[in-house]
Amino acid sequence: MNDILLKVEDLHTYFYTYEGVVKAVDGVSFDIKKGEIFGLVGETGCGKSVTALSIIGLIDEPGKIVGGKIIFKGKNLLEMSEEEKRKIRGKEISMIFQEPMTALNPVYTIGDQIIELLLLHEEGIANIKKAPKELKKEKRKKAIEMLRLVRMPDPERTIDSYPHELSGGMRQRAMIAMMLATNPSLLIADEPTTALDVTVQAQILKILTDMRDKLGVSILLITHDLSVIAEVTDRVGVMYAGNIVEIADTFTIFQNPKHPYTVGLMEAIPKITEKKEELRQIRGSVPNLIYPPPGCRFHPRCDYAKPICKKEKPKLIEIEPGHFVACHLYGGEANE
Amino acid sequence: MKLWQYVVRRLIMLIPVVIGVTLITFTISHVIPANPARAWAGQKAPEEVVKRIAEKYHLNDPLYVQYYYYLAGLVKGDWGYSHSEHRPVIACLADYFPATFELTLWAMMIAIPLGIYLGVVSAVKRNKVPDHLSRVFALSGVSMPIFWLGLLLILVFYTYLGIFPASGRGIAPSHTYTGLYILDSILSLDFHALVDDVWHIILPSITLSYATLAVITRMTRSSMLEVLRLDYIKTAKAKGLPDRVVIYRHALRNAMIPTLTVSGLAFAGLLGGAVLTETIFSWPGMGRYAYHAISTLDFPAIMGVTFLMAVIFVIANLIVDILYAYLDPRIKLGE
Repeated sequence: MNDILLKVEDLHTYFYTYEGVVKAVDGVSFDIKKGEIFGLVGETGCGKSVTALSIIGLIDEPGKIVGGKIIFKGKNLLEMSEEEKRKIRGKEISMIFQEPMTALNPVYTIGDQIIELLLLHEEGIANIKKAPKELKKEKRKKAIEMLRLVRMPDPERTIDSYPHELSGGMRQRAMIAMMLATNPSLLIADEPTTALDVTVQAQILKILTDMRDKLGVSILLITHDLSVIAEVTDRVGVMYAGNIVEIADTFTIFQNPKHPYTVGLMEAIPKITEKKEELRQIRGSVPNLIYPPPGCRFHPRCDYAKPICKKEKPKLIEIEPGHFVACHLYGGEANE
Repeated sequence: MKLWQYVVRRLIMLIPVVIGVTLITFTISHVIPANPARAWAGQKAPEEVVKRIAEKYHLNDPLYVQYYYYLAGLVKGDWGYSHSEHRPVIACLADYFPATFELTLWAMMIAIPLGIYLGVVSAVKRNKVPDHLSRVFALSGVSMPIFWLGLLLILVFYTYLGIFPASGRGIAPSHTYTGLYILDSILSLDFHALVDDVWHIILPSITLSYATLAVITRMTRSSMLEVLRLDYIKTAKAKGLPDRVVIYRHALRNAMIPTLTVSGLAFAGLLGGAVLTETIFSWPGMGRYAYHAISTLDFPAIMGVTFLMAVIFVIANLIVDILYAYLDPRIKLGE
C-alpha cells in the first residue's frame, strides 16, 4: 500500500446556503497511486470540482468540509493548520483550472507568475519585489526550462508576455508549467481542456501524460468528457450526485461497466460504427442536492431499481480486484 | 508608442480643449446683464470714471474684439486685473492656488490610502462586522454635508478640546519656494512654522477628505468583491500564497482602475471646489477667491479661475490615463 499517494475517505463537503444545505460531496472515497492519472468523471454539478477543491483546501464559504479524511503522504490534510496546508498548496499539490483565459492574473507577466511561485516555495519569499536580483534570475532560468518542457513556443520571449498576448492553449501550457515548476507530487486538473479547441485539447492532454512520464507526478483529472478519460487516464472514478458510484481501471470502465449509471453513460456515447435511429440517453435529470433522493441517489432514474434502493444507500464494494461499485444489484450478491 | 510621445500628443490635444473653455467662460461672463465697469468703479463713482474704466478694459468693443484681447493677454501671462483684489489675477492665483493645492494634497493623502484600505477590508470581510462598520462610515461620508462636518470638528476640537486651530493656514514659513507652507517650512528648516502649519491643516483636510474617502471606500469595496471571485484569485490561492499577497498583489491591482478614476476626478474637483471647506476654515484658497469673484462680478478673476480649473482637469485626466496603462498592461496608450 506504499504506492498510494492520496487517499480520500468518506469525504463530506456541504454548502450552507439560504435555500438549505447542499450536500455537494456526500461520502466520497478513492485513492490515487504514485505516478497515476486518475480520472473523475461525471455530469456538471455532481461534485467533481468540489472534491478537487476540498483536496487542495480551497473550499470557500458557505462551503465546509464536514467529515471524512484526506490522507496525503500519510498525513490527514483536514487536521492540518491553515499555515501547514498553505505550504503544501502549490508545492506538493497543485491545481490547474478550466478557463486558461481567466486563470492567470492579467496584470503580471507569465514569468513573474511562475517566478513568484518558485520564490515562495523554494526560498520562502512571498513578496517577489523583495527577492534579490540574482535569485530572480536563477528562478527565471528555471521558469524558462519549465516553459520549454511544456513545449511553449519561444519560451525566452513568452516568459515576458502578459496572459492576454497568448492563445488559450498557450495559457494552459503556461499554467501547467507554473503549477509543475515546484515539482509537486499531485496535480489536480479541473477540466483542463474543456475550454479549448479539439486539436489544442489533444496537445494539452499529451503534455499532461508527458509530464507524468517525465516528472512522475500523479494527476487527478476531472472532466465530463469520456473521450478525455479514455485517452489519458489509468483509472477512473465515476461520480453521480455527490457520490462515487464506480471505480475501475479505464479499460474495465469502458468494456465492462457495472453500475447502471456508468452503463448509461457508455451507451450515451454515439458510435460511428453503429446505426442507431436515436441517441441513447439516461432518463430523468440530475437530482437536487439539497433534497437528494433517499437510498441510492440514482434510483429514480435507474431501470433496475429494487425496493431496497429507495431505503438504503449502497456501499462501495469491490466486486473483482480493483473494480468497485456502489449498487445494490451487486452488493446484494456480495452480502449473501 | 512611447510614453513621452503619448504625453506630448495629449498635451497638444489640450490646446483645442482650452480654447473651448475660454470661449465658454468668456461668453458666460459677458451675457450676465450687469455693468461690470459700474461694479468695479463703485456705486457712487462719477459717470466719467465708469466710462474710462469701460474704455480701458475694452468693454465697449464688440465681443470678438474683447475675446481677442482676452486670449492675447492669456498667452502673455496677463490674465487681467482682479478688481475685487485690486491686483492682477495671476498674482491672486499665485497666492491662492498653492493654498488650495496643499489642502487638496493632504485631503487626498488621507482619502486614497484610507479609502483603499477600508474598501479592501470591507470586501475581504464581507458581511462581517468590519464590513458593516466601514459601510456605515462610508455611507455617512457621502451623505453628511461638508459644512456640517466642518462645524462639528471645529466645535469639538477647537471650542471644546482646544487641540487644533480653526482658521487660516498658520504661520508663513520664512522662505517661499513653492507656496506650499508645509513643504516650504521643511525646505527652509523653519520648524516653528512647520508645527503650526501642520496643526492648521488637520481639521480642514479631514473635512475635505471625508466625502472622497467615502466614495473611494465604496468603489474599492465593490471592485474588490468583483475581482475576488475571479479565477486568477483561485490560482493565486492554489499557489499557496499568503492571504495578504493574494489580496494586495493579485486582487487589489486589478481592482484599482475604478478607484483610480474616482480619485483623479475627486482630486481635480477638490482643487477647484473646496468652497465650503475653505469658507468654514477661512482657508485663503481658490474656492473662496472664486466665490468672492462671482459675488463682485470680477470677470477676469472668474475667467482665470475657470481656465486654471479646466487645465487642471485635463492634466488630472492625463495622469489617470497614464496610471491606467501602468496598472493594467492590457491598456495600450494611444491605440
